[in-house]
Amino acid sequence: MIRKWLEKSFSRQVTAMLLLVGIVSNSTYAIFDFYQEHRHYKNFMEQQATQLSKTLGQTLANDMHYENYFALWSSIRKVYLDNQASNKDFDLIIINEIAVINKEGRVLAHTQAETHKPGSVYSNPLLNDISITDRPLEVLWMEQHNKLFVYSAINYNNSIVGYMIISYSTLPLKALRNRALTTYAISQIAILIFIILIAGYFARKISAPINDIINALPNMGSGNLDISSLDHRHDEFKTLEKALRHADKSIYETHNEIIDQQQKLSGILDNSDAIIFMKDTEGKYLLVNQRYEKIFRTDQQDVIGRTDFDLHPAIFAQEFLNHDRCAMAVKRPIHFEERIELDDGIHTYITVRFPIKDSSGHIYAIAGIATDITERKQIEKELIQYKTRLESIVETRTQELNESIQELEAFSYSVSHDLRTPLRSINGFSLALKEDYQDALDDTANNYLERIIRATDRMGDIIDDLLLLSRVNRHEIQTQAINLSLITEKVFQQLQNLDPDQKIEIDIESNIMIQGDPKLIYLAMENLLGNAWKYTAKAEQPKITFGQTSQNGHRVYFVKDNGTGFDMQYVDKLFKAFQRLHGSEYEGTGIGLATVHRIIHRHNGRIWAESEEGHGATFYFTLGE
Amino acid sequence: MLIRHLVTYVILLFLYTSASYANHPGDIPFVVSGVVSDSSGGKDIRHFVDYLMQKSGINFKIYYASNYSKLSSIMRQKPVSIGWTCGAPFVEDHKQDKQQLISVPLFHKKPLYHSLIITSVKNKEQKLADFKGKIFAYSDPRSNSGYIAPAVLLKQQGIDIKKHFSLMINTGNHENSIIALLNGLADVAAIDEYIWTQYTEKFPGTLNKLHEIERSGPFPFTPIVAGKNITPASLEKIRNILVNMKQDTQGQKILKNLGLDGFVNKPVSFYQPIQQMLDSLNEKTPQE
Repeated sequence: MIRKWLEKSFSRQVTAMLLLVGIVSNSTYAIFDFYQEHRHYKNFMEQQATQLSKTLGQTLANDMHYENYFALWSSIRKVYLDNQASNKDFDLIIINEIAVINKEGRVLAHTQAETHKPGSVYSNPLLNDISITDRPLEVLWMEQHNKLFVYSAINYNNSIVGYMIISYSTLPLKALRNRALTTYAISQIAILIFIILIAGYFARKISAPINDIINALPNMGSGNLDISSLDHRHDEFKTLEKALRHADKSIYETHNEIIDQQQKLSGILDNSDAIIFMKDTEGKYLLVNQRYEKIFRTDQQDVIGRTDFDLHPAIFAQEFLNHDRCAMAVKRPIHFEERIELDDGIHTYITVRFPIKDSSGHIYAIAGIATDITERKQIEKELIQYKTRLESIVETRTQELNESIQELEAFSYSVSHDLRTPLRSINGFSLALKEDYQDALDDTANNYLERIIRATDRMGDIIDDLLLLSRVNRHEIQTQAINLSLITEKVFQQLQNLDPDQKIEIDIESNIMIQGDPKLIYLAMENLLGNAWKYTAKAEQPKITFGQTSQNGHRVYFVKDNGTGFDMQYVDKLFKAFQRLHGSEYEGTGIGLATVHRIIHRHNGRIWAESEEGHGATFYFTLGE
Repeated sequence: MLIRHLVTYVILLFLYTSASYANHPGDIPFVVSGVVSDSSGGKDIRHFVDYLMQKSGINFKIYYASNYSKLSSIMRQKPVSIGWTCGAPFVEDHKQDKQQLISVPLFHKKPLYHSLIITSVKNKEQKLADFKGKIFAYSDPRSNSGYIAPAVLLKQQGIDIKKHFSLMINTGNHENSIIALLNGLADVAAIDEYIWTQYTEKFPGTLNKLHEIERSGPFPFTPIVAGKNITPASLEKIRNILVNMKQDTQGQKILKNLGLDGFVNKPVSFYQPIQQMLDSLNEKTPQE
């Protein structure tokens, strides 16, 4: 309740603070001072009491020794009565009782003789727990019982003859303390009143300008903040007034800038062909642009504060809501293809929905930009139809083409095969003619015969190669793991056996494993190594290298030689049938590399070659890409 | 302030106890003890001694002896001394030091007095013998009324005074014994009738607190005595002054203040009863 009361006014808080500081400081000083004074009086009392014990003890020693009961009693009684009669002088020292006891603890004399008869055992409930010792002097404060005991051992001729216990009342000390407390309380009240007055004065001094500022603050941002009542001041309020004026001006200018920015933004938003909107996290519209108003034939004022369920059919509204939630869940922009029913039918929009976050990253709104893609969707639809149709045409054409190719291949095979029989006859009869009639024929005729024989041999080779190429096309591939290094070695050995005079250095990288059809791969390696063998025949130190490397993550196999090489400008012709880059000095049908190309292609691979004329060539190929 | 009071008290106590030993050549010691009331602060005694000096032309110096032993000692050391002693010490000192009897005061017109057993009115006991195990106060161990008489009183009942009480407190004089009773220091005391009368007249309230429960006597009153060396002329002169004291106004006034009726001459044999009491005490009882 006090807290609420304080919270309502700064001046109250200042007053309370000053009051608190005043009370704490004043109380601290008062407690310290009181403690010091109390200690001083206590010390004084103790000093007086111990001095009395010492003096009286010396006086009584003789009578104690001789057990002069009456003399002892007279002595202590006189001291006691003098003390009682001299309270003005002894305002701190009031003796309650004096007891003189012998070593056995029996009373020799006591100021209250009636209750403590001589010869009786001395007893005092307060001293029950105190063991009597031979210490010359002992002071026992028992303020809880308002008592101070001074206990002393009395010596006579250097031996203890008994003890004396003087009990003092500590009530004077208590009275002094109470008096001091009263004084402190009064002074505390006086100081508090003073502090309240001062605090109130200062609080008003502080709160008045604060109230002026509070009254002026509603005009903050107007550009003409008026706190003229602070003009005459020269303290912190003057500085505050300047700061507020500066802030007012800044706010005014910033406000204008914001309005300007808003107008620009509104211009962008309202002139956009896209629908732009912003909703709160509950789906209520905060902002829509003019495009929205136009498309949905509505007014911004009718949209703000309403949800999609208020504005659109439920099926669409639910979809929009789901998309909003999705964008808020992933906390980043998401594109959605959305449909909406307009007057002229269903329209398709591509809408990017994105969460709007405050400075702390908390999502407080969802915004969206929707672009009408209805026409584009129509075009896409038509394109798909065209594509389907085209693919159908291509498929038909391909089928027709394949059929033509098959027919062509069958024709080619048939022709090649059928040509071999007459060709074999021509070649055979030409050989027979030459063998049987060589001598009968002149040199020209023999020359003609030799040329017929060579031409038919060559034609036979061409037909064989063509049949081989044809078989490659028709061969059904059966893939398995193959050690390409072993195949290469085997092919090389075969070549070496056919041409033992040719000494060629071979370097084969071992254990290159591939997946492929063994027959076709063997045929391809036969052609590639045969090619290398052939074109390195004239090299001084012929060398063929087989290995593998890597290009763009693919394994690439290569056959490299240091033979004749070729001119790279004709590289495009290299793998085409019947295309030869060299003259008759090198044998060949021009079908081998075409066959290799076909085999690699059928293994979903690629083949290419690099060369420099006179410096050898390298054929690269890949498999199963 | 307390210290100052205490120091003053100590000095006075010292003067009181040591004055009796002071030696003033030329002055005749007049030694007094607990036989007279000190309730006037010594004023009555001084007037009495001044009267004697005035009448006799002898210079007296008053000595207060705290007990009879000191009185005897002073008179023994200065045999020309005059003293006011108790009957029992006189009997002993007469025998030992040839102390001379001058005159005997008249109390209630007789040279006799009693030993009173005084106790608090709160106590139920009826006689001294009833105070077995209690605290007994007495003025002096040689005092007739304070110690001899009660001892004889008890002995007559077959009781040994030294074993009868739990504690016996020697107070120094009869007034102290009364004070001891008043303050509960003692339960019972034997008081000189003369002192009791003087005290209760001066402090009548005492009678509300203390009362007499038993008495013994009468006994020969406490005498004025002289040392063995005093001249017969001086002795006679003093005796005459005392006997005639009631004849003049000044003497009468002093006697009144002292609570006495005058003085009378008695032979030493007058104190024979006390001698008998002392003798009886020295006799062993069957129990002893």
